Amino acid sequence: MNHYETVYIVHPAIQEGRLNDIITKFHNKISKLKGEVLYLENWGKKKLAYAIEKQKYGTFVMCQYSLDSQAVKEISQELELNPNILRYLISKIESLDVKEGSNKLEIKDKADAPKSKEVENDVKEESRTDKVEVNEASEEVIENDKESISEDKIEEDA
Amino acid sequence: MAILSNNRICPFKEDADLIKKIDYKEYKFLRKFITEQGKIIPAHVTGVSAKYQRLITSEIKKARVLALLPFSADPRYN
Repeated sequence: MNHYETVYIVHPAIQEGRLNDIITKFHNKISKLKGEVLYLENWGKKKLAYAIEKQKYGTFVMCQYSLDSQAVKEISQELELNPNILRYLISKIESLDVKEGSNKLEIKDKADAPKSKEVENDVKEESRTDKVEVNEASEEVIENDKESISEDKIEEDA
Repeated sequence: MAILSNNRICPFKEDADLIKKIDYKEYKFLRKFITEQGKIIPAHVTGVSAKYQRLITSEIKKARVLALLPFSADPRYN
């Protein structure tokens, strides 16, 4: 099993519903080949640096997944034969380069927006608590090792 | 074009965050290493070390395939 990253450009005329169909179809193909989708990102509609199939714009979708090396050919064939995909690029990546986040389709509804914000807040709070713990630990170390320095620091803090 | 300075110190030297940016997905950053025409600027001009110039060229070429960067551009029309 290797990790791969694919960016593909979908025809700009395709609306969101059909775009989601294309993405789910691609994911089904990966799962059929015993792969696993790890990360999905929709970059949205972008201007192309040069026209591809007479199109000046394109919708970019980035997908990271794990797959057997022999199955990559079938994935590239799938993308090649899809007339709605203008261009694609498959590149091998290290497992450390896989981005953390959702591998599910982002549905751009107004009802979902506050939920995501709440999640962000939770993450921030967690990170804050972590930082506090780190600080406490470092202070303890300082106290154990060099008492004089810790006293100075406490005075400064006061 | 701050990178195009006269001092020949590699901008990526001991800068892990900048090295991470050498990626075809960061095509806006890679634009610093191509001319208006779309040509890759040689390392002896930018001062990038050979190790990272190799990475930059391969990533620029990937970005070109995806039309994130131009193969060639006419600055008069862009």
